[in-house]
Amino acid sequence: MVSWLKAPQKAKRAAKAGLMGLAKAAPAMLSIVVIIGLVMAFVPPEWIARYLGHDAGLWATAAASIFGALTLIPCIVALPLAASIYREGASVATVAAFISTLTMVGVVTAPAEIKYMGKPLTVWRNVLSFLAAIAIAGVMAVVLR
Amino acid sequence: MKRIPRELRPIIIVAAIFVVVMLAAPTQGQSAGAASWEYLKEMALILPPVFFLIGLLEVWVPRSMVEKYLGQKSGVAGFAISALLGSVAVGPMYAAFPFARTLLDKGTSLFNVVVFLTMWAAGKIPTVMMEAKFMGVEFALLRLGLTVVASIAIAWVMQRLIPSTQVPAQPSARPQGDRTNMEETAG
Repeated sequence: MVSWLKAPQKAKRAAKAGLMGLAKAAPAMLSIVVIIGLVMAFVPPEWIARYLGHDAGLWATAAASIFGALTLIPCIVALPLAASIYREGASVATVAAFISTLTMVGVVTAPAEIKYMGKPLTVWRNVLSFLAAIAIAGVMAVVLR
Repeated sequence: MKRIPRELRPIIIVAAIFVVVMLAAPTQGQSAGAASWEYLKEMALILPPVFFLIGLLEVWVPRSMVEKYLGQKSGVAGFAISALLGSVAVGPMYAAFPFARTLLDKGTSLFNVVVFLTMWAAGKIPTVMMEAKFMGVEFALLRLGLTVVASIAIAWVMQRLIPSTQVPAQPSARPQGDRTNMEETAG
């Protein structure tokens, strides 16, 4: 709004650039949304809670981090889910690994990331984020014992 | 496949999978459709403002300014700005990529872009507040602190691993960024 008042020409260019970007991004973004929907339908949250919650060992932590890396669950669903995993008996490390890989590592969004950031950047960022997520989980398990 | 534009291929493949699922397992298909619809609504709210912001950024913010505050020599202040930019954001990870691309094109250092992305992913303030509600304040704040440390570590390693000449070589999805950039530096 402010930019419109100051220089309508420039604002028009900004709006145009924005619209172009939106149009180019739409197909990739749409497919991500449908994939999220499919994942949510086939892997219901209750199932994850039951599976990851029962075991408090290292295997559960490993499974949680891999699962978190592979899927993409929006935070609004993921955080209550993390809480219920914890309540069912999962360790702090498992929950922390789950939240961290879920947010930082995205195999589902990798194609979109490659499109914008290029392959080397995407691959390295995801690999390093995965390692960092495990490290975060480890530290949290020690601190919040 | 010749006539189909590259951009549209992923959505066609995904749509095909969806149709197959619908036919093979109608129950799951229906709940997948419902879930997708929910996220589509969320996305429809978030993406237009994000791209409008990108448009404004491209046209209004000169490259020299981005370079000064977020570029190679921006130092601790540049890191702090990038981390804050990422953590005040609203919206899922995939909304961050086009934004990060524009920042990179405008002269932001790889280090700062990676910090921005990591903080957007795992250190968003609204999410941390929600996390505090579900997992406890201690858990949320500790994870946030560790995420900041991790973002530095990841960015540092990536800056070593990826030569700077390799970074901007991905113009496939740039929304006419080059032209506006040039005009900006010329004016």
